[in-house]
Amino acid sequence: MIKLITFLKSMKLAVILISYLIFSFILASIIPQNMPLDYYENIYPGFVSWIIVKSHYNSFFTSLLFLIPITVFFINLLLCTISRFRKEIKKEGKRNFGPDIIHLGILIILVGGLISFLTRTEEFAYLGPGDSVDLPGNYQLRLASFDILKYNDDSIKDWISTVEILQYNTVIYTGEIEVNKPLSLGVYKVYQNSYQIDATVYLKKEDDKLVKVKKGQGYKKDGTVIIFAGLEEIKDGDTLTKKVVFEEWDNTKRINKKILDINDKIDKYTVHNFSNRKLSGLSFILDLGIYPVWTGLVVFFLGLAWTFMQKIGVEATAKRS
Amino acid sequence: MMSTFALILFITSLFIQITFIFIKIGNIKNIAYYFLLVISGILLAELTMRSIAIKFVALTNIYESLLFFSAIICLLIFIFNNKAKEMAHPYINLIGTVIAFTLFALTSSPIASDVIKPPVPALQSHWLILHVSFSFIGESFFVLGFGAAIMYLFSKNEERKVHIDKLMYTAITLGYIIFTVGALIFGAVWAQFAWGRFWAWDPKETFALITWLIYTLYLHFRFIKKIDNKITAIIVIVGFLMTIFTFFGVNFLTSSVHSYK
Repeated sequence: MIKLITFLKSMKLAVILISYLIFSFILASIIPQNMPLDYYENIYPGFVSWIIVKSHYNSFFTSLLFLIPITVFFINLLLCTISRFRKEIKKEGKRNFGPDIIHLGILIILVGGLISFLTRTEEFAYLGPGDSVDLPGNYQLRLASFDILKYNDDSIKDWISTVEILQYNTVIYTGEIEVNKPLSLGVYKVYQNSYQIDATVYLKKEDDKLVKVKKGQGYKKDGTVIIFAGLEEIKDGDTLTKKVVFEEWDNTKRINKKILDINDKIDKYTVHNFSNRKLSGLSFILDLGIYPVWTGLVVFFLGLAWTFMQKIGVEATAKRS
Repeated sequence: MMSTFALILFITSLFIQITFIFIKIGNIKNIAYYFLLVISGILLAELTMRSIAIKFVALTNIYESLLFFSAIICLLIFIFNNKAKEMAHPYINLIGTVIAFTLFALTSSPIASDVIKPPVPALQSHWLILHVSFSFIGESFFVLGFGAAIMYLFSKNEERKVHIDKLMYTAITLGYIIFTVGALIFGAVWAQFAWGRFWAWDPKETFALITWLIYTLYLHFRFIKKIDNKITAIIVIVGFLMTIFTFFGVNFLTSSVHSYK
């Protein structure tokens, strides 16, 4: 038992584990992760793709190839930290706890990582102004407005979602969400993830019934496909006017493009109306692991600061002597 | 205009340093290091002007990153040569200068567009300044460590090897601490604010971690008494090569949320 503990807390084991992690991380970064199985069959030779899939290298960070070594690493680091800390306590003269605090920070981060792995949930939604989603605990999040700010060169400067939090249909909070500035709702955080322009065209059939067609949708016609490609701003004199764009596709090749206005005909349909909503892409994340990870990062940082100050002090003393 | 002046100073500094290796004329090499200080000032001034133009710290693309990295390496060589003369070595300074010059030269290549563009929403964060600047400052120390490792492997003088090994250890230790804070801690914190997760095994993140693990291996190898210092020197060289791959290779060879060209 003592031999086992001595081995488990040894520097040699630490070096072996770190070396293994280096090589396995390199491979895991080169091999695309979490792709469909036929992806690997298509890009790698038969035997190689078989090895990748059978060894679970295609989902390395949730496989035993990662989980077992990282668990052994955790045990090694824990035993080493305890052993080293006890030696430092018993030492007479200047003690150096910097590395112990660093190691403690890493251990806490690993625990936080495990909690995150087990508890994290992430939902995603595109919301237009007025749209809402239900949140746990009888709460609702409603998007009051969504602004896309642009620079002078028309590139995106910022997306700002103004949201209302409702409980039992009563607004209890109004706040803004931007990239890098998430909204905290207790243990939930809401992030500005992306945006989308939701283009929809309403086509009138010959019997006056309306058909709602979203961007990317369409219909078949004589061996080709007519697809609603979205809305385009066309210069009409001095003004920009939104027009409806339909494309005709023959298998994988576009063979025709039509730019239409309201009341224009396309086959047996007439363009009745269109809408162009800006949608805010919001991520809703619950992750209990963030608290120990934050703690671990602070401890890790303090350990590095201690080690840095001690290193500078040692260098200064060596220079003076 | 500023870039041309920096280029002239770089070439002159390299010429003086190389000449000094063959013909030791007084303290002429110190002029070369003062040139590096001026180069650093020029590059940082250009970054300052770009920052004023975009109303944000100009560290948002490869061009600006290359300028900053080159500037800090030059500054570090100057500081080491002036403040830590007992550790400075002309060959190591020359290797560092060559690397700084190469990074500067790459700003004129197709991989680095010098177009001044304001930052995209994801980059509009104070954490960008901390994350990127600390990472490159740490990596600048790795450049010195790399130079020391090369010298260690080629040196036959045992006394000089002890001296070079000390420089290597000092450079890597300081760089390791700063790189850890910048690349890993500040990077993880920023990722949490931007994307809702500290870590996602993104290729850039993973290769930065690999780089960190290699230098961790170096620091821990030094505790194993029977290890030949040649092995630790080789680890330092591999660590630096991984640093460069993390910077360039990941941007261009993999798909990463960190690919800001």
